[in-house]
Amino acid sequence: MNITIPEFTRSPYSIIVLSSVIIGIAVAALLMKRAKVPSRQIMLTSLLALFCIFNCAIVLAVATTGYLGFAGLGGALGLIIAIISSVLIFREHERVVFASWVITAPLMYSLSKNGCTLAGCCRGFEYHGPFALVYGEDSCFPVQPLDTLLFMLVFIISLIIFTRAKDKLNTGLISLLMSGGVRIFTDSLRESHQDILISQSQVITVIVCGIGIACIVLLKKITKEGTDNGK
Amino acid sequence: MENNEQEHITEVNTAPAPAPANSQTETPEDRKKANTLCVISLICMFAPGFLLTIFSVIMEGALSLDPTGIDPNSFNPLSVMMTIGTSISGLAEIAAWVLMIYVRVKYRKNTFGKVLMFLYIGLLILLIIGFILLVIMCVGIMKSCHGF
Repeated sequence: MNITIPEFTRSPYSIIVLSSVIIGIAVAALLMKRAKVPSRQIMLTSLLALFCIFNCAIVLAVATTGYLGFAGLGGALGLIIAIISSVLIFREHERVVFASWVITAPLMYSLSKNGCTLAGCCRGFEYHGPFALVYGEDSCFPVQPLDTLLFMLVFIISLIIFTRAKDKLNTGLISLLMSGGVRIFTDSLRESHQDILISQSQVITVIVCGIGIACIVLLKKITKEGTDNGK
Repeated sequence: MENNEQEHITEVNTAPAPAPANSQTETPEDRKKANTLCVISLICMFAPGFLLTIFSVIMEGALSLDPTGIDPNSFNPLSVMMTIGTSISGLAEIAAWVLMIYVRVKYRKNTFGKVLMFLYIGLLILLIIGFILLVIMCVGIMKSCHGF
């Protein structure tokens, strides 16, 4: 059973990406609201996150490929920059704010991969088995739907741990490690990964995860465990 | 002597304490600090992009080179400079936003900070609308995430 993707005269890619980012921001805001973070902090952090995600995603695409685009990994980097800046400015509810944003990143990525499926980017290797995605004459492994599925699973697992864990920052760490692992695995199934041992995007994934883990270690040092800086 | 000391202690205790930066009133010192931060934020937001545009125009016009058409994967100095310039411009814009948020949190009564916030929100909305329109209209130019 193959899935044929039609060629669009007007690409739905940007609408899907924007919607996924906005849904992710709304979920993060809800999680923060549930943790009794002040509305002002939620609003300013969300604005900063929205700008940083778009800015870094476009800048990374332009800097690495030379073409205008939206790089998901750039978005992840922008999100980390935004939340660490916000946490350092507000110095309130650091752990819960950081974790809320980190666990919603897989949700944003998962939803935005639907845009890649329809646009035809991030294709899998040549494949003619069941569930193959057919773009014109090319038949590819359905790596984008697999990305969507796995990242949604990462989000759901992270959300369950987040609602039960005492120290929310550990949830962020678990989510970050799972996301990094899934991203590296699915990248190896892509068309662009054939005949390559380690791809550029796998290296960037490791760098982004490393930055995220460093931020979590830093936050653990500057905040008291379980008290969220006493506020 | 004792009376004098007591008076002095009373004076010290009743003297108005310096207002914290995020209180209801804004002291001239706070205003000056907040305005300085806002000006730095504005410079970070617009100066790198402006300089990059001038650089592109010079390269395109005087040296007959098209910086936008250069493959960044090829290691020629101009493409490296454009990549670095784009990255610096992006980071400076993030710094501008961070400074604006800092002013809004620490000096929340500052008018310049408020104006800056609405200006940046307006620019963000324009950026998003521009992004959507560009992708919808120019399918060939920008239709994907280039594998990232």
